Amino acid sequence: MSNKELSIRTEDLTLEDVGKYFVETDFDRQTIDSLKSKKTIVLQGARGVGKSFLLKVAQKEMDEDFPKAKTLAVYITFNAAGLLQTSDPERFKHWMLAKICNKVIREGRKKGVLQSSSSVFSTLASGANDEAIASRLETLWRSLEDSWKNDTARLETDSGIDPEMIKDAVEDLCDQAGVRRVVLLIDEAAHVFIPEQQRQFFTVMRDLRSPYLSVKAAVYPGVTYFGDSFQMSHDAELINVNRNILDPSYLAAMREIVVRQDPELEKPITRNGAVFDALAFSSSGNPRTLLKTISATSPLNMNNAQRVMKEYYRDTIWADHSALADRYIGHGEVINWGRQFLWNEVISALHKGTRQTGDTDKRVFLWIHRDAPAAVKEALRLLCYSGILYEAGTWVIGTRAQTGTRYMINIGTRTAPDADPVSATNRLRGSISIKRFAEFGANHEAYESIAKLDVEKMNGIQQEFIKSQLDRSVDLLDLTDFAKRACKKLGYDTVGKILAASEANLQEAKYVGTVRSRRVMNKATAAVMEYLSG
Amino acid sequence: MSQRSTENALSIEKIMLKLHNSCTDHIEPATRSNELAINRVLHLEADIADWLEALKSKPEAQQLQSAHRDFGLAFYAAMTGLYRQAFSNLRSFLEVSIGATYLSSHEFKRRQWVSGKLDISWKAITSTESGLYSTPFLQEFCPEAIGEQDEMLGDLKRAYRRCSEYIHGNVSTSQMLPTEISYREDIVKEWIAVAESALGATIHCLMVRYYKDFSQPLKGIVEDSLEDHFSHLVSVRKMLGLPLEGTHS
Repeated sequence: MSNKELSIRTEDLTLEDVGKYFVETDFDRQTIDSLKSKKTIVLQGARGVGKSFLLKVAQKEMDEDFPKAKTLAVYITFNAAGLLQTSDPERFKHWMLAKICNKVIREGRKKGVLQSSSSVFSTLASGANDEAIASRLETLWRSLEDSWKNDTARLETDSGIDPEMIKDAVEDLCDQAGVRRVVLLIDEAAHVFIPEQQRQFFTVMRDLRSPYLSVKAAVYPGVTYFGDSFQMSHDAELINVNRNILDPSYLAAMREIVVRQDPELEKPITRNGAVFDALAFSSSGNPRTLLKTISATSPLNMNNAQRVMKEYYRDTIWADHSALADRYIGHGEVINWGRQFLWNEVISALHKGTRQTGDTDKRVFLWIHRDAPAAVKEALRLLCYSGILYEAGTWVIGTRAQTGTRYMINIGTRTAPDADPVSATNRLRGSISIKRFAEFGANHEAYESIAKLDVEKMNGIQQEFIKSQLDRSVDLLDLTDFAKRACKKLGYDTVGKILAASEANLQEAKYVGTVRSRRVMNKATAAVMEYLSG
Repeated sequence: MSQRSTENALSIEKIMLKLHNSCTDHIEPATRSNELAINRVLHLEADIADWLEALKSKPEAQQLQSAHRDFGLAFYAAMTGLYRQAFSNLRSFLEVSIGATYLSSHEFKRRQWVSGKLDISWKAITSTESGLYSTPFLQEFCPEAIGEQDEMLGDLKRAYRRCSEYIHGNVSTSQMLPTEISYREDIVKEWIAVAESALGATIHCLMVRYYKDFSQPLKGIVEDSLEDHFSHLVSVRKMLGLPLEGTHS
């Protein structure tokens, strides 16, 4: 077995490495082309599915094409250490815009569309002052830096510097330097931000859109809060980064990903084909998980693979998910409920069914009714962040013509409880059907403990976070006019009042039954849910 | 001045201007054919200038600035076809920058070096026992970079060795150099590549020696250069608070 260390994170790779390790699939090509296009894109996917990698490939291709295409790719990550700690939204906005300006300037210098600021040649040329006149973007950047660094006074009023000015400055840069477009590739777009800052970021992202500036942001499902002013369907195109494990070329692509990083692994993989296939299939299309488990399975053989699958999919992945509650404190209850639901009601139930019937239950999908409580949906979204679930279709028809969302369970977590997870995975591999799923209706008994968001029982911090939402008028919720009128007629004219009521209370209105009352309650709950952690 | 000596002076002036014209003629193909790579080099050089700004109050600032000017001259020489001089000045930039950085941690030796009593020893700078990338040095100044010491020391030594080969007329390189001032694309490209790695290696050396001691405003001056050129290194991601495996939850 090779001793070469596999690069598990894209951040460990230089752009040159990225080119070397890239194994292109049709989906990758479409995604990269979208990232290079004019469209505003939100690239969503669990940890390790390859969002950063796709952004870097897009950056590399735009870099290489720059002399001809003149599209300036600017890759940005907001770092946690330099993150401005402020409760002042105006300062935070300026900090964010300053970072964006700075990255555009640096990339512009690298491509020669802006002159570098060094003075060494002026010094050598007997003090001749031929320094370039600062571009509008550079001037703006300095103003933004001054603005957020000045913490002597709270910026009560708008300073006048806003995304509009950045758009104008970028347009200037494009006109003057013959650049066609600037593409901002924002990685882990909102991850280091608290929810309130995430909402500000997405407002800025929406406001930056222009013919000369297109923004692409990679985000995680479940932990990204877009706020009210950013509407996904209007303001961006959402691309879910999920590798289709049912694609006939899936295993070959995953094998190639590993071998590109370490060609010495080719022989052991060929010798232990079934073991590798089980690990690749278990990773559910997540290259980082595959590289991690392959690294831990050294040397590659059946015993090591069994051990690693049990360790990773029974323990590590769940421990990582539970640790999310430390960061999103307000969502702790939802996170714990999601873990218990998936483990007790789904994975264990599927295994129990297999044991009882003697026939393998081959289901790896579950289906949740569209009117399931908002907290349930939130819990499932958070499981998607951890890569334990993958969304696999919305508006999917279940039994009795009901609609809902289909999720795929991470294959490794599905088979790890088995005594022989490698064989269990390979047995499952040939018989998966997207049409077979475990169904959970709108009112499944497992939801009981989480269904109602009880504001009264929340702690002081949570109540503080959601305070502003409770007073929001029912008119601002995405409900039909009929539903809004019905709520107001009963006196439930704010989010807080709806949450204080029960679904039965809402059903006192004429023509409001179990379905309508649930939808109203879900909208009110969802409005608050986003603010639970800040 | 006699008529003869005036004629002689004019003749030297003529010869020099002829040489100068050859250099001038070299600038156009050198800059136009290598625009992208040159921009990358100048971008790195501007980052070095930012580091010098952050270090301007240090006793060794003068040596670092002098080295920076050497880089400017090296660049000029490369663009005008003075290839051996270009490599020589580049090596001088590397030697003085890295030497001053290393000796800043040995004040007595640094003073001796500045007053001409001690020569810079490249061997000492790159010693794996006590040099800039030795474990004891990194443990004191930048323990985060210990895992990367071999790779970074290798880069630094390679850049230095390549410059030396041109200066000492190593057979393979001296045969490559033209006997007259004329544009040679392969050599200009080679110089740019070596310059890029020399500048990168210098920024990394400055980082391991100084970054952790900087105040927050000084860190702010240089952190973009670190993120831009070294965010693939775990040490840099740790120090800048960029994403690391296991820090997501």
